[in-house]
Amino acid sequence: MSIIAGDIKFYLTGGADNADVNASLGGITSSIEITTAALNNLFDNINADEAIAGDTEYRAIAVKNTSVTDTLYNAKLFCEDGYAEGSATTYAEFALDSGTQTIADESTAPSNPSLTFSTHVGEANGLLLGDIAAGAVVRVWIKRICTADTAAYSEDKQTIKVRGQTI
Amino acid sequence: MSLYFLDGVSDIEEPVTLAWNVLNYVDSGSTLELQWNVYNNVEELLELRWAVLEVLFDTSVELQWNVYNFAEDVELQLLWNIFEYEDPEYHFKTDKRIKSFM
Repeated sequence: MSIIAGDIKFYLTGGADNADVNASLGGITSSIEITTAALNNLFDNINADEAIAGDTEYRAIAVKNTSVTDTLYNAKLFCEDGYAEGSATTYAEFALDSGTQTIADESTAPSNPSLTFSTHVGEANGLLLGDIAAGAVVRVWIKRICTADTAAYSEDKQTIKVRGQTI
Repeated sequence: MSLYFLDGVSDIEEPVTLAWNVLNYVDSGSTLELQWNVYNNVEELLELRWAVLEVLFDTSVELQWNVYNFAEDVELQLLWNIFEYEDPEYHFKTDKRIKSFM
């Protein structure tokens, strides 16, 4: 057997049954899967005050290999576009967390341990998740940055990809 | 030790074989078994390949390895709206009026 796309799923964090995307701030992995391409499926809207002043928010998600038999080898997380996707003045950075730390609020950077965020644009610059065994979960933090004086934008977006090898 | 390909190798068509890792090296009496994984970059899933080699002293050995390929990409698209004031100056003026009034 091989890993198929449906085996790799993205989940909220913030408690076993947490369905509030604004509370996906680390801790226990939720059983609630993130629905791709749905408005506010992880981040809330950027209001006018935030767009003027600039805004940085954090979310923690879990990437799970739901296969019961197969490992996803050498998995990487990356995005194809940084600024180029959606608004030209918002982008996301990513960091892998070895634990399940929680942050106090969405504006507080994870600090236990402190993480290094990077844009990870393109597979070659992908965030290495390593081998994800059957049933295993890896914790990824996403930092959404909105630079100051950002113009209004409907359905701004960031697409994340996970690519790995299967046997 | 010298190894010679007997069959199963000449028809390998993997265009890119980047590297392999020898995972196991077992010498069990007269049978020598080598196993390793081969990683490649081709898009098509290749079948598991194997070859029979001959070592010195006419000892046969069967080599096995796994061929990995990329699993299907998984995408997650995050969406949100960005709002702005229709007239930022008006907004700030309004704020000032409120503060003055208060």
